[in-house]
Amino acid sequence: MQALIISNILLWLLLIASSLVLLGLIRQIGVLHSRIAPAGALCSTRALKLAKQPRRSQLQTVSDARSISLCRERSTLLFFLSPTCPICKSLIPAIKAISRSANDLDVVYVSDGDALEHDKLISQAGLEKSTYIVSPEVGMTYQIGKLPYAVLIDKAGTLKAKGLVNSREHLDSLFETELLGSSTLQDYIKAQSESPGIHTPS
Amino acid sequence: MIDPIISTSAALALSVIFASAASHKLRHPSWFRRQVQEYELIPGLMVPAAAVALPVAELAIAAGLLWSTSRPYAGILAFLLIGAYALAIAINLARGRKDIDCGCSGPAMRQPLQPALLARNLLLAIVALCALLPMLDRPLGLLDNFVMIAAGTVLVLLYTTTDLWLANRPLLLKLSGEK
Repeated sequence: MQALIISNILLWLLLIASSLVLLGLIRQIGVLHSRIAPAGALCSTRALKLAKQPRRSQLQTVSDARSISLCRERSTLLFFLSPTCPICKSLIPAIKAISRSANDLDVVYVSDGDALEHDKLISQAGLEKSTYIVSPEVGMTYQIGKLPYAVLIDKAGTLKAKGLVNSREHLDSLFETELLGSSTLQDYIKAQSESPGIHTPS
Repeated sequence: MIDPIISTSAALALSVIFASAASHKLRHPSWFRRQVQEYELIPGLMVPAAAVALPVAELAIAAGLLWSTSRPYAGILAFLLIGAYALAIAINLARGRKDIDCGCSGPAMRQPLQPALLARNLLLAIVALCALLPMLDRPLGLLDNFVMIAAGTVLVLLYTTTDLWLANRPLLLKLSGEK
């Protein structure tokens, strides 16, 4: 009887301890989520200045040779990718999710290179209904040096944000710039350090 | 008739849960008023009154659950309040308003409305049911009291964990792009 009582008490104490551990773990996951929340797009400083109107380029899509203009009633997200880049492929579902959730956003996939490779990528990733452009000129216009890269253009045709995107957070950060009012992560950090009262994410 | 250990531990846990819910609502009154408004179930004029009445009722229930004489009544009130919250969430989910904040765990932890919250409220309702059922009359020893407190503590910890887990779920879904 004595042994049973002691084992019972011990089990209760251990159960409380394991619940505490579980609570701590879940809390850590929550903290991680808040830490990886986007703050602003990281972009190389030598590239095209933001908030300038880009040249009004006329683009040719692969699928139906239809011309699209970048300046119209909706915002445009240009996603630069290549069929030979694995990270680009892994980001396509996230891009699709963004285009589904945002009503006034057009997504344009931009690439260059061999046409056969593109057809394979389009059928693999299910991009038949999307706008897919093969044009080295667009990449040169926006001075894209690395892939995958994304450029966000607002309704007025103004370049709002751009950056190298390696994950969903990087993509979200492009949209975050509109909310925070600073066009790049560098601007954001600069603004934060100039006003010492505000908490800087570390 | 259920054993006093089950009834008392359920009542203890429920009391702590209601008291903490009432405390964050009373500490941030303007936040909670906006929350009540966002649910769009109560006419605008009554929103400030409801935003005060709800946390006060929660506090009264939390106190009532602690004494065995008032426990059945407080248990029924707790059961009804949990059901009412579930109904409010279900109505807004049916309206398709998934993007409003649940308002469940204070302004520090925002979480959108989701069906899993209904399951959480169902579990809370079962705990409330345990607290309001009549108890067996039997003498209680030291070990019984220990088990009551320990079981109540575990319930509160597991409830908090579940709440955080539910709040993290939409964040994870957003990350993997499966909105």
